[in-house]
Amino acid sequence: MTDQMFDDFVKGKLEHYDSGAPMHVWERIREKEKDDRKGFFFFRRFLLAGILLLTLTGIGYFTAKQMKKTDSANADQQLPAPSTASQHNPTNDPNQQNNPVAHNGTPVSNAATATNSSTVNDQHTAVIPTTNNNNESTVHNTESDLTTNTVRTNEPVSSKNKIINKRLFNRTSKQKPGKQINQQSAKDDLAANNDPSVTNQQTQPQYKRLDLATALIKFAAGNLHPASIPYNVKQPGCPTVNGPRRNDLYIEVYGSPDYTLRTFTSTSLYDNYVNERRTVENNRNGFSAGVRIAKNIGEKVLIKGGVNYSQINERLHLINYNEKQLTQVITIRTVIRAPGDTLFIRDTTYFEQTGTRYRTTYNRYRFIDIPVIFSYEFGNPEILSFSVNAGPVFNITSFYKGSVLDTAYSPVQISTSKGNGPNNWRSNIGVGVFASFSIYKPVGNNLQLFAEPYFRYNLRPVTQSSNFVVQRYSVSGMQLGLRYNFHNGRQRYR
Amino acid sequence: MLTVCLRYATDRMEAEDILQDAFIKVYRNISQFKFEGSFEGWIRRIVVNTALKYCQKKKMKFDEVKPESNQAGGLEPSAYNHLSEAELMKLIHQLPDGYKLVFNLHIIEGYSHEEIAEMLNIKDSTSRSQLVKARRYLQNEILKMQKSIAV
Repeated sequence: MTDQMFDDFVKGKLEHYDSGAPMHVWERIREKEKDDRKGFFFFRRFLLAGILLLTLTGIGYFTAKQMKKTDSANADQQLPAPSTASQHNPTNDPNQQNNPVAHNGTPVSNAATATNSSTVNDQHTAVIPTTNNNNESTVHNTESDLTTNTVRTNEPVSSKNKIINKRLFNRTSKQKPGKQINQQSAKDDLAANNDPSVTNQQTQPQYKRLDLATALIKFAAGNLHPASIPYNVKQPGCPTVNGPRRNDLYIEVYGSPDYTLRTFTSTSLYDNYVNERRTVENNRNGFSAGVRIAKNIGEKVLIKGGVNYSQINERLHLINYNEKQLTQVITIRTVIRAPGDTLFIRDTTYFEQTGTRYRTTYNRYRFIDIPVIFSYEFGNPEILSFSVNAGPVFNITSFYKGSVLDTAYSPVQISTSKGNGPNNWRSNIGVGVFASFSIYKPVGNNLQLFAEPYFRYNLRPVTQSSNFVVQRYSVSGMQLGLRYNFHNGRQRYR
Repeated sequence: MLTVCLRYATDRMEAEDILQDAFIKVYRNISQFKFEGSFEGWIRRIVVNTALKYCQKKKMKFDEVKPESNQAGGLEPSAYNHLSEAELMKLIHQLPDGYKLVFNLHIIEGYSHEEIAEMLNIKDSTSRSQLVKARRYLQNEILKMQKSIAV
């Protein structure tokens, strides 16, 4: 029987030979397929939940920030209130202060209200020409009884205005009676400012309160954005209810032991090669160190930038069990013969030794980067505070020393020159993504110790784009360092 | 398809694993089937590729086994008449890994030596020599089997 016949015989026998798969195999396949789908949906659900959570957190954060601004503006506006009340309230009796209704009922207040209603309307119309009579009536009501009638009499105003009015109502209703008197006195001042009979000396110190009152009225009418209140609440260094504004500038110095994750991506043709490299190149560890400047851009948000140096160490360990070594041996003999002449005899021999050769190369991969990190801080900075950090890392330069296996399984030097060999690596790996969580412990007035577990994922591989094997490194580690605050201001982000 | 897997796997458990992985791939990539050519052929190709991946994970070696004798070449066609599929499968299973792979891919699946060389990351000549040796090995085994039956 010829080979061809034999091949045909085997092919004919086995090509369509089927012993049939038992049921449990199909059951396993169905289960596995179901699990995979579950996993996908589970992941997708988590992803959606994460996006939703992030969106809600963002909205909550900005809303809270907005509210805080409005609150601090109100707090600033009410700071000089007690002295004002004592100046302008002719019935400065503590009993009356505790009873705003009684205060409003005094002839002095009523007189101010009566004389001022039309004046305020005029002023209001001058500032916002588009306001209608409803708003004017609101102002009028606010003038007469700010705390009780504002919402009720504002029915034709839009729903947004109603919400703002309600907020104001809630705030004013929570205020102490003394502060309500101040509101009233502010309105009295407003009236006084527009009254030509009042002297300049009286008007000048009242101007700020007057401005505030106008702003409040406009705010109550829903025509004024809180951020545009004429009273300068954004003035740098302006104290807020929580203390001085945060104005920190830090320098952070750190070092970190790193663990590196290496991934290979290639077609199945190179599976053997990749497996071999996984076997012979191992012991990946490294370290990183850096310095960065951190500046707060909000009460809890910081931006950090600096320079980071990181090094990945790798060991290439090759064993050749069939290494041949050729040794040349030269033997020189001197023979002195009877006549007295000397003869030199040179013998050259070679011998070959076969043995096992262990070859170890320590590879060093170095990267210099500029991290730009956004950080959100929370906790008590006087005891223990935390921050969540994330941001891009821009590689400046990358340089390498060492060898990797080529497709013939022999070591070749890594180089940054162009090419599609496995040893042609990039001199710049581009952008990476950095995420970390920090814990800060104060050790002095201006000094804090911190520990920061982090993870960095490089978007681009180290190998060049034309390479048949894509090699990528991701680094995780624990940054330990010191943070020094150049400004010793009290922090108020707790 | 389980039989295809059995030809590449070392045991039945591994064959079932290969089949499972292959069919998961089939389910996931069913949309990629263009209705060009037979559906069975498409599945068979996926199964064979999955089996090859399993073999590559095991760091398969293309060892050379010296045949005991080369007298099997002239075996009469009648000698194969009583050979069942199961027996043939058993014999193929006894082949060394490299022989088995090349034999299966070339003789049964119909891949050329160039294709096999690319798939297994070996030289064409290696594929050819492995096939020749696999054939001899099988023929010798069949001859041995015939002798034992005759005795």
